[in-house]
Amino acid sequence: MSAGLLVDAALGLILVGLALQVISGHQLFRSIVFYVAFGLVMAMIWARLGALDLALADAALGAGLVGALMMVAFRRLVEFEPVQTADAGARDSTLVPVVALLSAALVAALGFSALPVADIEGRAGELALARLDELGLGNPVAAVVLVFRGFDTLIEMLVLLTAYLGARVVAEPRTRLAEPVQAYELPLVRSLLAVIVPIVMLVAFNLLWIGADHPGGAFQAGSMLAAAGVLLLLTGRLLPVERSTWLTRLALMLGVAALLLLVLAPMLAGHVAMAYAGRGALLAAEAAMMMSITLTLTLLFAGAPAVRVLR
Amino acid sequence: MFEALLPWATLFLLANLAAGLWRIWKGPSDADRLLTALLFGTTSVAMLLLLSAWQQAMGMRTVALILVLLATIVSIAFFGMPAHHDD
Amino acid sequence: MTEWLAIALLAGGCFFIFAGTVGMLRLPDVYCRLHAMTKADNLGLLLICLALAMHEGRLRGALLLGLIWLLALTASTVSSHLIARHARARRIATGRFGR
Repeated sequence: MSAGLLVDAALGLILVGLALQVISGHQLFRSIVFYVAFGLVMAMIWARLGALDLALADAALGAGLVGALMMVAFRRLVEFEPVQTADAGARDSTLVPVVALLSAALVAALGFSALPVADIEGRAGELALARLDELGLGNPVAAVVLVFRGFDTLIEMLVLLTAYLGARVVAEPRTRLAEPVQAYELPLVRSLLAVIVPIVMLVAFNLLWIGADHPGGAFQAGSMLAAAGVLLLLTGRLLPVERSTWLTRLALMLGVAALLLLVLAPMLAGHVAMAYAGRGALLAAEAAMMMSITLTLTLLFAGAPAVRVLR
Repeated sequence: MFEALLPWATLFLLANLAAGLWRIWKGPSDADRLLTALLFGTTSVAMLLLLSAWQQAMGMRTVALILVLLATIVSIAFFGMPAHHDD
Repeated sequence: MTEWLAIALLAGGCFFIFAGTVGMLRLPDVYCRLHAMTKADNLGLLLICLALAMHEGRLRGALLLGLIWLLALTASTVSSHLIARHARARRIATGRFGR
């Protein structure tokens, strides 16, 4: 048995074990830490599978941002009810075995239906790879996300915007999520921010810039910048404010607007909708998407309509 | 020779990682659990670097770079966590 | 010659990460375990970075590995500081060996 197979088997087993601990653990904090570990293992598995675009996004979101989000959510929970949190969600319903069996049956059915797919000719992925050269893009994922399935990406950006608007509607003005965590008084954190934030920005802009030819792009860059935004919110460098500004609203919609332009502009020139408009147009659209993603995720974390910089 | 050893070194680090899970499970305090998650992070970075050399995929080093860049977010969010029941 | 040095460094790196894990599992309290995390593991990571840089022998790759190591060092410094402060503020007790 080769070491590669052993590594894969071990990674898979650890991932399933972690997932079980995350959902069935009786202590919330422990489940959160397991979830952070889950994000790390997931990123490693994506990397091992050669899906670097996903590994990059998962490293920024799963291991960094979501862990912090759950940590802050847990903190609020403890502040509201310090005692009862231990067994929250630990009650077993009698429906559990039924739901588990049905889910297992669904997974098995999907798995069996996917088995013969390997022989089908002309799969979408192969077609996309075959026509990659016509576009002049080196990264097949970028070609699929922005050209072949660009419409899906437009809808994804709309989903993100809708999610943000939904959260704004539901959130009460008083339930502020990110009270800064006083960590900013510590000497080390100040130096850490001075080192980390510029490098995060550099890496994010680099990922955006190379996204057409190498793993990277708007989603990866946006989630990295959002992680930096969360870091600044947690340390009190960015402060939530109650009133939104026109600039914030513009930046929130920029991604959707840029993709709509990418869809409609070719029609004005007499081509079909979403006709390929060249690398420059893609980069511009990705830059706009990056801004919207960054701002949406940061504001969702802040639980506020806008943020301002601490002076 | 060196290349042949890379998969085994990766496997060894993965075994370390799995063993560390026991400490997350056991605790006893929140600080212990978080600490182990951070150890998990360092070991994952080492594994990604080994994987990148093994599979000749230098892009994995960017993943490792992102992991080390964002490793502190969770501990900053954790700092000053108020006392609670299962601690 | 370089090959054997790289192998030795790789083995050393694995050893120190192993030492970190053993420390994490066996040391008696959170303050001791902080040592395992910050010292042994970062030394292990350094040795692995050195092994890879030596094996590849390219300056750019070595610089990236160096940057990753320095950032890992920064991160674990700040994290362990925050965790230790938290533990002290919460008066988490020190432990003894053999418990």
